[in-house]
Amino acid sequence: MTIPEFAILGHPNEGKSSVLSTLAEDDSVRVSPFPGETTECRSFPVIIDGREVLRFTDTPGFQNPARVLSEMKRRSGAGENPLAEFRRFAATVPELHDDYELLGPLERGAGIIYVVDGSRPVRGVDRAEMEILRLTGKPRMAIINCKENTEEFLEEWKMEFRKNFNSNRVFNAHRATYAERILLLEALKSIDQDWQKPLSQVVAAFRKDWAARNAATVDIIAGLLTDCLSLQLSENIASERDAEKCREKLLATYSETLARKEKIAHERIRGLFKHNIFHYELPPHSVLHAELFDERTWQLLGMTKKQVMIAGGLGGAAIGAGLEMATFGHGLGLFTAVGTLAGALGALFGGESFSGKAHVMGIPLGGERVQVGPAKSIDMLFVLLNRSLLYYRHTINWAHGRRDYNKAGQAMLTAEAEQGFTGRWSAGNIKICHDFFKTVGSRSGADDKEAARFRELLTGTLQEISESE
Amino acid sequence: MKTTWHYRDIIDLEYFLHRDKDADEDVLHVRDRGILLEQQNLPVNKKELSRYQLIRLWLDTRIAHEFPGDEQRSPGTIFTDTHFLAKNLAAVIGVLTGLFAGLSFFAYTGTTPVNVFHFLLLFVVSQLVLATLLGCGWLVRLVLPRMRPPSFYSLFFRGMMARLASFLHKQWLRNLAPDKRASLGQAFGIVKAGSSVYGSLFYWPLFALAQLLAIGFNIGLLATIFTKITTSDLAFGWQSTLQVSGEALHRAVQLAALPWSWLPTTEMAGGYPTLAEIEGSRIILKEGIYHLATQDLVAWWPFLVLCLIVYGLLLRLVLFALGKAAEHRVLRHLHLDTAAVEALIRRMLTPLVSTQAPPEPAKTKLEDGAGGEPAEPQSPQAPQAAPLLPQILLIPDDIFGLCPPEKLAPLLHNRGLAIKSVHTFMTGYEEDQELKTMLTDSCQGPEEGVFILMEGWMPPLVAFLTYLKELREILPKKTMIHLGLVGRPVRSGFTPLAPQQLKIWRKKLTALGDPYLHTFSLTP
Repeated sequence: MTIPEFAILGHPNEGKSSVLSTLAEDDSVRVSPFPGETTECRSFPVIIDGREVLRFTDTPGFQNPARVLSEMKRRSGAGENPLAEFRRFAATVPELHDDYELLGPLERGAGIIYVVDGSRPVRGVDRAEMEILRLTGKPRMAIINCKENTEEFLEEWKMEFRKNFNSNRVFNAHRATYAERILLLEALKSIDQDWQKPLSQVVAAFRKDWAARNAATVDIIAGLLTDCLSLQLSENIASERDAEKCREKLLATYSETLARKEKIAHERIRGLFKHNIFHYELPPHSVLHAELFDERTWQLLGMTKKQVMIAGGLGGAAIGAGLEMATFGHGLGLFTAVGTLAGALGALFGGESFSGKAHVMGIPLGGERVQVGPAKSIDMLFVLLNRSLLYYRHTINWAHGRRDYNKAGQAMLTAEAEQGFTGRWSAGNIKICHDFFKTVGSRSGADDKEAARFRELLTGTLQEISESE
Repeated sequence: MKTTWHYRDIIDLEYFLHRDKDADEDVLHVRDRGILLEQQNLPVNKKELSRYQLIRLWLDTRIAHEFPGDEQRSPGTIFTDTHFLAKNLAAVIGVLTGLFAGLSFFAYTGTTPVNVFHFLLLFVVSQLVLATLLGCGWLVRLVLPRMRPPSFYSLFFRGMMARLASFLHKQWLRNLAPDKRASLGQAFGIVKAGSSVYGSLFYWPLFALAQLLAIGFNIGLLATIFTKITTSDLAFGWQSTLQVSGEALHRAVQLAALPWSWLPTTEMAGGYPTLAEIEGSRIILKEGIYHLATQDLVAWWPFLVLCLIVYGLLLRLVLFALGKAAEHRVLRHLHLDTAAVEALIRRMLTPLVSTQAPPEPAKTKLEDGAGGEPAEPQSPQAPQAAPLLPQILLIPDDIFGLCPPEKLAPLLHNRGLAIKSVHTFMTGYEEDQELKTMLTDSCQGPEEGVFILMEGWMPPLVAFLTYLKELREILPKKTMIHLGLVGRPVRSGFTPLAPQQLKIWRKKLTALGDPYLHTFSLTP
């Protein structure tokens, strides 16, 4: 059986590469600021267990729609194949090279994915292109990719599509790559019955693959949290006088170690999502750029007022009492009070915790040994967790060659980051985190139940982010 | 007043036009109009300027502005300096080569006389062959202009010129901004590649160089010969394995000496050896030369020297003079009428009209030279207003309804254009082909042009570029094609075209290499 093939066709510069990179999860798709630089077809095979089951083909944009249409119409007499006839003619005409090339996959029997920019008006050239595709007689679907944020012309496009296409759908560049891919593949099923089986196979494989990557991400995040939360540094000192200096030094090392561990973990997450070109540059105003101990990070990625109280309450008293515990309000002051690195750590280790009990950390006891860590405040967990989730979100969205993602996506992310992912979590979820935090802190390591629940919570969150809009 | 362009001007002009390529049309308009107004406000100059004077004025102002002082030399000056140096160098190299060639040739030790055939082959026939090749090259280009064979000399001198030029402006280039460097590259590029506008213009400097080299060579050689003849005794003889008779040789020599046969000579008839002398200077190696009469052995030299003077030096001098004349002719008949120059002249002649409340930023600049009196806005009836050029308008089907002629007319008027007729464009392939034939029939005279309106926010398609190319082939050679780009249609007209989009269009259109194609954004 021949392998089903889909050719991504369209006018130059309409976002073919965005659609293709989403479908093929490959960011090596050529992206050029000048339209019409792609002049050859390029195939992106989908290989499952070493067997190619499906193929997407990137094509050059139409360069002579009116002429191609005219030539094809002339050749569409009875019993003739206008597509093959036209290609035979165009093979020798230099200026028709791109059109000759882009119709190649169709002659092989490929299905058509026609991409248009829905934020611009329909033009004569577009009508000619659609007419050409209709003349080929291949199963076809239209995808509307709105490059700019306007829906003024959407209806006009849909009207045209109804005349010429088996189905059409709007491509949503803001939806997570994974979710959009699944939706696109599902939609492709409808254009030809013969392709339903391989497409279902591909969708199932994609889902499994994605779940496996999410599981690996959960492993990395949980590992990072365990590592960081239980990190402990200590040093022997000669006299009381050295204590302060030594403590500062240890704190510096401590924060460096945390930052390094976090960076390694994020790199590993990135590695799971097949980046080829984009060497990740985080948006400059994102909280991801802020240091872990920066005041801003705490404010943005910490918890909501309610959650702080819940978390604090869990430390001392019963869960139910959480909301009424106004006495814990002063705990909020922690977030705004931290101004400097030392101050932040001082608050973490030396200040008061939410439960109201004074934890004295890193203070020389007996004047012989200074110790920093492990973390005694659950805030550290939330900060690291939120940052990792934000990183994950960036990675899966930004990954695959969406030229247009930068502008729109960034604003969206920043807005969301103000709250943090855990900001919406229920009291039950906060409790799961708290239990996990306690297990790590106690260093028993044996309590797998807490860890398993925490991982389950993370898995659910990642899936939610994957499918979010 | 007879006025002539110089190479320096052309190179500077190319340089500045390239610098302006991506600049905003309005800014350029304000600047160039300002240059003219400033000039007209001087008390001495009230009369209308000719085309030549306009460009000259603009060029001088720009040079004064961009290359002030003696330290900074304009690209044109660099070219002139380079060419001057190259000419000197060619002459010196020629003289030196001639000297060395002569010295090594005339090494007579008393046993073997100077071989007349060798001398002729080496110094006279070789030069004649080169001159013949040059003539053939011209002939080929004349008969087959489409083949564009590379010029004979450009092969030799291109490298030398390039090296010299880079040596000269290396110091200067280093401090230059990248955009200036690109413009300089463009200006010198036309010297190297030539263009459809300048034709053979930039061939002549190379030609002159070659002639200078040859003249130098002949002078050097003649100097050696005279020195040798006066200061040492030379013997000339001829020999051949073929049994060439003395008479045959005499006839050939007679023929060769025709050009100077009128010379009044006392010793030798007509400046060539007599039959007896030829017979007497024949060398047969086994017999040696001691039995030959000295009279016969020295009889050859006037003939050889005259050969060299006539077939070497004089020929080259004539060619040099011809080259100079051709150069002057081309420069005198130079029509600077490319799209860029037309736009420049239009900018200078079109008054700045503003109907907006706040004064445009150019005003202060203009008043600087206006001596307190506001120089503009001038009334449209100003004597220097350019005549409107009739245009055949092509408007794409998609936006035809949005562009009624009465709405377009003022926009075109601003650019010195008027509407002659309007046609729908891009309705279909066949229709556009028919339109092409219609254009050929109705486009008459060089002042008439074709104006194509396009939506600049759509990427330029190969189809359109091909159409332009085909149009150029069938239209009269210098017909202007104006390409006005507009942004997206909105209720009140069109949005301004994004600079990036204009850049994309320009990049694609530059590849066409059509000097009579003018692209601009109609909605700034």
